[in-house]
Amino acid sequence: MDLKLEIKKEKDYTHIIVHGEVDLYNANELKEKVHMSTDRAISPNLIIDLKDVDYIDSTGLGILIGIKRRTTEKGGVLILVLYSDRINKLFEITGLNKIFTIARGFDAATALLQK
Amino acid sequence: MKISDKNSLMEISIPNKPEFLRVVRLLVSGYASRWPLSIDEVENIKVAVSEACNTAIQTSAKSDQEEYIKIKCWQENKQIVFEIKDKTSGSPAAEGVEELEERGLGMLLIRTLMDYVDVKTKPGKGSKIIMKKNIKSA
Repeated sequence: MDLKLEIKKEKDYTHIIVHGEVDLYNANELKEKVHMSTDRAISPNLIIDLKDVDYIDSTGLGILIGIKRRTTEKGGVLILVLYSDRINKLFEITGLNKIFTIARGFDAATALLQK
Repeated sequence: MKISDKNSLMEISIPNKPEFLRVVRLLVSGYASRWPLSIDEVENIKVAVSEACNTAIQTSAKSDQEEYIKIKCWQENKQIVFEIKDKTSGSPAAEGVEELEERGLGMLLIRTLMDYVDVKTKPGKGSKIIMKKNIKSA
């Protein structure tokens, strides 16, 4: 499945829902689209929803690290929404679950932003 | 590596282009599903082989030559063996911190998800990654 992004800009955050597979082929496309949407956003906070991501490789994980770095530099917070055990496992193996703020659902993500 | 059971051998050759990674994942998942492995184990194999091909594509893409990556899979001694070979001159310097991080993450995933991993690089001749997954009930 090709990479598709749904982008919703709210007052307190930008919500990006990612669909499809993220790998070496399209990871840069993810980076560019996220950067474009956050450059014009009202809030620097970002919620990236990976619930419809079937597969993500190390390139995709590397891009997420870069997005987190950029969000922090802008004074914002990045929250990843992960549902799939398979994707969660990749974050645990690589130790990225300790670097990222991870929520199990969108409501949990917005609640974390309000803390 | 000598292949003892040639009846189980599958060979794939792909251009060093990232758009072929999904094809590799589909074929390798299909191949691994032939053996008595859990869905999780098949998924682990898919991730590891795709990561090994990632590395081969990233290094060979910088050589400016039309290169092919060869993937072989076979069964041997209650294990499935995966061999990923490229003909690049070795691993060139990563371009920036992000690429270094990605390569580190890729190898970490491969080593965690497979039961045996061996990486060999010969300057001027290319790289080879051998990975094995145990088949518990074979």
